[in-house]
Amino acid sequence: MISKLFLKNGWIGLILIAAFLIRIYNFSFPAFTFEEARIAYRGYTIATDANDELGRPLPLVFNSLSDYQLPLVSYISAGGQLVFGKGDFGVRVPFILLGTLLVYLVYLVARNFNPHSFFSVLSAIVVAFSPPLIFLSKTPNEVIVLTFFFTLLFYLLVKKNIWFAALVIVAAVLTSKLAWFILLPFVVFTSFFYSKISNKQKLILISFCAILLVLTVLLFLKVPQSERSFKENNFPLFDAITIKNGIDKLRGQGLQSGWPPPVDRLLFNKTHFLSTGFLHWLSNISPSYYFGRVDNSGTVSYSFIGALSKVLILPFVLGVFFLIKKGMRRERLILFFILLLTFPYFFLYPNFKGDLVILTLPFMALIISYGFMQMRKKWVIVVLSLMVAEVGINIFSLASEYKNTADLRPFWIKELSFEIVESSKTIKTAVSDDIAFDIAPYLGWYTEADPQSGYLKIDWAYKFRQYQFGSIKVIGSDESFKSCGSDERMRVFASKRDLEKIEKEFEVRIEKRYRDINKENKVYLTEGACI
Amino acid sequence: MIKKIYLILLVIMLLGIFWRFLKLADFPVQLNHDEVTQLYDAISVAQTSKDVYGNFLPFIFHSVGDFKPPFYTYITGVFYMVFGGGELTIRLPGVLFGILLIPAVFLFTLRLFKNNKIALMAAFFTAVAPFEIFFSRKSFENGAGIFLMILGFSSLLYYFEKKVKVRYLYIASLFFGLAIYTYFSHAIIIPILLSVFIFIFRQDFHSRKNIILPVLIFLLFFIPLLILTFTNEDSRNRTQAVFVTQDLNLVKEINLGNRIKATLDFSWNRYLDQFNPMYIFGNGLDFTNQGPLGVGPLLLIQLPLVILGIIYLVRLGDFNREKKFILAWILIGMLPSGLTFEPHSPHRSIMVFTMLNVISALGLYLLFKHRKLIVVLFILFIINYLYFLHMYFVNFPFEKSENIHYPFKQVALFAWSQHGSVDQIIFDPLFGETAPVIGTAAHYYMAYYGNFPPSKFQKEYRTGEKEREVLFDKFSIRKVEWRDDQYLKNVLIIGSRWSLPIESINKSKVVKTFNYYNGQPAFYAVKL
Repeated sequence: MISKLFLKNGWIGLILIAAFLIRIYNFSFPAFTFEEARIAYRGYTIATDANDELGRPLPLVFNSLSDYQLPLVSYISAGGQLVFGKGDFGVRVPFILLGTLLVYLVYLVARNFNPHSFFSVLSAIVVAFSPPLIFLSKTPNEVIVLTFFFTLLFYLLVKKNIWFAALVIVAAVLTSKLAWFILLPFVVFTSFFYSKISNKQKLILISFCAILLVLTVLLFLKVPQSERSFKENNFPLFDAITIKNGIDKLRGQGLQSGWPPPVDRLLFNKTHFLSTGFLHWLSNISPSYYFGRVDNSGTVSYSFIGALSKVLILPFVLGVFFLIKKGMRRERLILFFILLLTFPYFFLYPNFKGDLVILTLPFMALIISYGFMQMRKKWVIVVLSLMVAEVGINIFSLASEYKNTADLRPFWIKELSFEIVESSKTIKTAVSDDIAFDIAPYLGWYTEADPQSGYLKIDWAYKFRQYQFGSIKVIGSDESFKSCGSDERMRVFASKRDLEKIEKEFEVRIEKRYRDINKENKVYLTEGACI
Repeated sequence: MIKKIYLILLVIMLLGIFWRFLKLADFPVQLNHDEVTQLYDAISVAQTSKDVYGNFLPFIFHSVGDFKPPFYTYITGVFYMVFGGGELTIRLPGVLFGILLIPAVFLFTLRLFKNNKIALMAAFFTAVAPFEIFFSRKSFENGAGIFLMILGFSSLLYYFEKKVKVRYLYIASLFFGLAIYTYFSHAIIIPILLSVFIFIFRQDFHSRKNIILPVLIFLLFFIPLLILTFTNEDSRNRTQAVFVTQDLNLVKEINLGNRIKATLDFSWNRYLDQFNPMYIFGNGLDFTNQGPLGVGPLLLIQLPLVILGIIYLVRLGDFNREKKFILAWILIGMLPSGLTFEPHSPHRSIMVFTMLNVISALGLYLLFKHRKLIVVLFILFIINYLYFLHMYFVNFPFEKSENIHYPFKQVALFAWSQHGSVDQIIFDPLFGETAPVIGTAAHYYMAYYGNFPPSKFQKEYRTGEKEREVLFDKFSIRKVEWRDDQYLKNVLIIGSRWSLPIESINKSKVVKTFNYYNGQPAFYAVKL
């Protein structure tokens, strides 16, 4: 009886504990990128005085250096800090919980997909040990939230719970623009092939989803720069100058060589945008991203590992093989979710971000588990052991990770931010804008600076970089320096760029050097130079 | 019925012959540095039994900054003896093996699937696939290796059918034995794949006694190669020079942490990236500088066929030996490309693309009953193929002729036309439209296009004291130092704008300008 109970609940309990422990291990890792720091800081300002970091009261569209940010993640960050206070704990815990819950959710989905308890346990293990899902559970970001919502939506639809499904659709719409492109086909596909809801319910849900999306897009189009936001972040394919110029150039060469113009027009035309988008889409879900490397930069995952452990390619191949060969239709169709969830890659040429690959991981886990089911148990144990070993090495041995992400995730900037803000309390202080991709969020997040001092109240900030944070001046590349007069005093935290600029003009005393993890001098504290 | 099948095969072969011979002398627009070195070495061996550096019947041919396996050079030597030393001599063996591969793939596919239609379709894709035409026409040695390898495996499969005919085992040994001498990676890949094949089909080798002697024959070929590979420093250097550890990104990663982990992670990722659809169906042959606009080893229209082919293969019967072998072929075949320093090297993956052609044939076979679909597919194929032809015959020369050292031939011919009127000819092969690159094998171009006797070249060729200088006859191929060289007398200097201050040189002294294929100036001949 006890063993049966353990078999039923014990394994998933153990997996959830393991997943949670992996996610809280080395709690302050990874250090935040400037965008994550911005979300964290924004959460704090919202939690304290209901304004975002630019001083706007409870907005629905936020600023970031890449695109407009949708609200949900920022409000989750605010919620965490409302409960736990400002700090790593408050920001990271909601996402850790979400990441751990995702494991359980996949377990539930798998149980509906295949009644064998072994299958659902294996699916949960795969998700629990997926490197990017571990990584993203530790930072405030849209991807983990969206992955959670799509898995939840699938589960709710399978469970015929359309009212909660509708709520999740709303939540996903408010999480990321990427969801806008995936939701409708996802809902249609899942409703028709996996859900046993009545046709009337299907119609209601699909209509609701479609109307919501149309309204959202229409509302979004009212926002200044929204068209630019779509073009730059969701449809860069159609602005790809390489393709435009390539078509003209190659066609021109044909004409120069005497090929008939109609043939040249037939061969080189706008359909190249489609073929490029199509191949870009498929290339971004190629095995190298799943089992090789998903993100070399360290933005959405550990830098030197794929979205899944290398060894899982074996059950994956077996899974695909046997799904095609003898899987039931609803089992086979799970393969389409990979294509469906990554569809926006079609328009994202030439960019690649691992986010859409990560959305597919719960469904990949089902395919992999299907493969596991075809293997002998001893081989399953071998594969799982190798998986745990590889993921463990990447999680516990982080020296090269720290070095690789020294600029993107600057650990060292915490101390610097603190000193900059302290300095600004007594003396005019300036800081170079190239010591990090964006210094302002770090200043707000890592220090006790008064949020209101940074409020600029810009209505629709898009890709806005803050050059004044309270009394701290952020120095752009166009600034020039002069020697401070007798009644002037200024402390400059200069990057190499600005130090060279200063030293070209006059001599300056370097008070302190700040080094990154690679022992490279990144910032020089100077006195005597004024702007 | 059989007559009809062979008639169709003949038509397919004629199609293959047509695309391989169409304007063969003009496209590629010039012999590339590999072709010219192999051709001149072949002439040298045929005339003197030594390569241009005076090595007697070498096992590995020194190229420029590279080494060449022996098979292709020797076979070109035979062609030289028959057809003479014209440019086409180097391209004919490649074309010949490319054409012969069509019936070889037919036989191989027939043995594998026992289906004439699938075999014919595989032959068709072999006849027309971009990578087949591209590599056949540029006389690439790997083609001969694939041909011999396919014949080897076909012979083994044939032996399984005709159980008593042990001679097919001997024939297979011979083919494999020759194939490992065609291309460096074949020396590793063929023994591995052969071992996997023997393991997979172990029950079909009726008697162990039957295979002992054929294996010994193969070892007779293989062991000398193994010994020479390990003892020959050039061969080891060649392997090290192209290994993945030469990749600068990997070097950077190694500097960040653990060497072994970094190398394993990096190589694995590179290996998997060989299966990238953009590379295989989009722009893998690197015909243009226009990003995604290009041609892959396979036509884009083959992408759905490959997917369908895989589905068909998976659903067809059990996970039988044939399927295991195809999978092994693809996985092992991608190893050379995945473990070398270039992100993608299609020339190292030809055997995989050949198998993907076979899989495309399976996909096409699956669709064959759907007439309307086939008509649509046929129209799309024609457009896709026209696109490939346009790319190959028009855009590739415009965009990439510099990579095959265009216009070195014109430079060499002009230099020889001035040979009698000057004391020395200095050629600086530093060139490039957007960035300076040192063209290799310039001395081969000069020697070959001047019909310079290899026996004389062997004696006269030497390195000089100046930077990058090699000398023979009146030729000095080196860096031009204009500050000093401008005072030379009765000398012809040929250089690009990277080495000559062409604006400040008296126009009357500039006797000739050589253009890139796109009409932009590449080199100037200055007579002092």
